[in-house]
Amino acid sequence: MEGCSVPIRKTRVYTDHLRENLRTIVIFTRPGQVATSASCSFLRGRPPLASRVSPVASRQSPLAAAPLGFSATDMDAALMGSSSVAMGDIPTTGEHRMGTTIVGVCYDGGVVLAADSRTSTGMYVANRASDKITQLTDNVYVCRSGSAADTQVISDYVRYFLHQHTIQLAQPATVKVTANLIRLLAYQNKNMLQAGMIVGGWDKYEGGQIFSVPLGGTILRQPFAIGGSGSSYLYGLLDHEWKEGMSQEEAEKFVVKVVSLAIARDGASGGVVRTVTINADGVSRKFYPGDKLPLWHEEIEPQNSLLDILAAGNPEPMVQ
Amino acid sequence: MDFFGDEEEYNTNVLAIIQRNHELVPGALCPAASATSSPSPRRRHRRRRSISMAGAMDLPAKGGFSFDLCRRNAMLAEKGLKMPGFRKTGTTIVGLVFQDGVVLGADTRATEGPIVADKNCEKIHYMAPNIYCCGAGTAADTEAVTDMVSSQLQLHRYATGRESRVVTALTLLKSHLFSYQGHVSAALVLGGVDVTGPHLHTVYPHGSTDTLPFATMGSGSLAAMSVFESKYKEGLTREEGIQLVSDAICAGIFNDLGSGSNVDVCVITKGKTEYLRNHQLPNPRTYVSSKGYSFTKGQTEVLSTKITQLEPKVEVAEGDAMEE
Repeated sequence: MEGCSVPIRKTRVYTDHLRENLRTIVIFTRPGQVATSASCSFLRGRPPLASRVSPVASRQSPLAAAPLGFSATDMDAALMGSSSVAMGDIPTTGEHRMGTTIVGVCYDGGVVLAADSRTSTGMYVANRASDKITQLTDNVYVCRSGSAADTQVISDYVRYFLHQHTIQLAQPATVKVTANLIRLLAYQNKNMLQAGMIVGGWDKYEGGQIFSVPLGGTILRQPFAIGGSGSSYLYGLLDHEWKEGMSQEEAEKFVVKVVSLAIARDGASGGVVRTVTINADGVSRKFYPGDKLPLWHEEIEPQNSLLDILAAGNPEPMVQ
Repeated sequence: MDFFGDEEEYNTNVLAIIQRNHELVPGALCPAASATSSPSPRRRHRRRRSISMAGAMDLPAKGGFSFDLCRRNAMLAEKGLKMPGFRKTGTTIVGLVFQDGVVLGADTRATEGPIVADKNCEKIHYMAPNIYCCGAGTAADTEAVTDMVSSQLQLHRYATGRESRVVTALTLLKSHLFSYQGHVSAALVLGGVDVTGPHLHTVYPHGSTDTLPFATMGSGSLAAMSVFESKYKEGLTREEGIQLVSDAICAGIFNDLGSGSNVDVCVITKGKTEYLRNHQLPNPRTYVSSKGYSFTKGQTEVLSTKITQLEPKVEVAEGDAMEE
C-alpha cells in the first residue's frame, strides 16, 4: 500500500501516499468496576435528532422532516439535507458523514465484508482513505455507515462490552451476541443516532454470518447485506448475481465488483476498496487502490495528472 | 402561610412549591413524604391529587448536557434576539508524520467576524511533553478542551508513572466532544510520539476521529491540503517536514481570509519536542517609525474637570472612631 497512486476516476486528481494505521482505543476502568449496560450513558441528555442539526437556528432543519425509516434513500435524504445546514463558514465544521457503500456477503465457509473509503463533510472529502470496517473482536468485524462520530462511539462501546464478555465466558463472543449489542445501542438511542451497520463474523456454532442493523435499530440476519448511500445502486444487482455457496475467491471478487460499481455511480462513495474476509482459519484484510479497480461505463483510464492528459494530445481532457 | 384557600389557588401554590423543591431535591416528589401536619381528610385528598398531577412531570435527566437553554435560545432568536458572537479562529492548522516523528503547524490569526482580533495568537496547544494539539474553531472551546485533557493526562502520568500515549489524549478528547454533540466547536489536529511510535489524528467537533499520515483543518484546510496532496511522501526528513508544513500553512495564510500573520511549528520526535514559535514571519509590519512613538505629557488639552464622590462621607458624632 505504500506510495500507491490513486489517479483520476471521474474528474478528480489524486496522488495517494496514504498508509494504513491501526488504532487502539483505551478505556479506563477502576479495579473491580464492572460495566453494565446501565453504565452506557453516552447519550444521556441528548436531544432527539430533529433539534440536533442546529438547535439555535430558527429555521426548521430539513432533517426534522426526514422520516426515520431504514432504507438507504431515507438516509441519503437526511444526509443531503443536513449537509447544507450543518455546514458553517468553515467547510470542515459540519458533522462528519459517511456517504458510503458497505457490503457483507456470506460464502461457503465464511464471510466477506467490503467498504469504500470516503468520509465527507458536506461537499468536502475529509478523509479519502478511511477504514469503515472496524474490528470488534478477533472474529467479528462491522461495516459502518451514517455519522462517523455516532458509529465510532457505538463500536467503541460494543468492543469494550465484548472484551469483558469474552473474559467472563472464557471463549470468543458469537456473531449473534455482537450484532445484538449493536442493535441494543442503536435501538435504545434510535432518535439520537444516525448509524447503519453491517456486522459480519465467524463463530464455531453457526459459522459465517451477516447481520444488518439499519437506521431504526432492527436486526436482520441475511445471506448478504448492503448499506450506505451507494447501496441504492446495488439492490437489483445483488438480487440478480448473488449465488449461494460461492468460493472465497468468488466472493471477494464479487464484493470488489459491487463496491466499485457503486463508487462509479454514487458521488458520496469513493477512494479505495477495503475488504475483510473472516472464516474458520482467521481474518485476512485486502486493499484495492482506486486505480486498480475495474472500469465501468464511461469511466476513463487512471491518470496521475491532468497534465498527462493534455500531453497526450487531446486539448480538452474532460470532453469525451 | 396559608395555602388552603380555594382549590385552584391551592393547587397552583402547591405546584409552584413542588416545582421549586423539584429543582432542589428530586426525591421530594414522593407523595407520602410530603404529607404534612394534620389537614382534614378532604384537604389531604386534594393535596394528593395535585401532587400526583405534579408527579407526572418528567424528572430532570441526570448527567449529560442539558439542552434546555438551547431551546430557550432558539425561542429568543425566533423573537429577534441577536446573540453576541464568539471569537472564532478562521484557521489553518496542519500536521504530518515524517521519518522520526510528527510536525505540527498553525497560522497565528484570530478573528472576530471580519476583524482580526489577534495578529499573533498561539494555536498549537500543549497536551503532554510528547503530545501537542492544534486547534481550530471557537478559540475558547479549543483552549478549554485542550487544557482540560492536558490536566487529565498529567494526573494519569502521576498515577501510572508512564509517558502519556496519543491514543489516550484522543479518547479523552473524542468522548468529551461527542457528549457535547458538536456544541463544543473544537476541530483539532493531534500529534505526538509515544512508546508505540509517531501518531497523527484529526478530531472533529462531533467527536469523530481519523488516523492519517498528513492532515489539515480549519478554514484554510483546503489550501493546505492541496500542498500536502501534491508534495507529501513517506519518509520525509526533519527539514523537509518542517518546510512542507510551512508551505502548507503559507498556502492558508495567503489564500484564506480567515488565516494570516505568522507560521508556528512544533516538531515532536522520540524524547524531544521543539516548539518553533513564529518559525516564519511572512507578513512583517510594512512601516515602523525608526524613532518609535513617544508623546510628551500634556499633549491632550483638559477642557473641564468634575470630581464625583463615590462614597458618602460619614462623620462619627459620638464615641471612638476606632470602635467601628
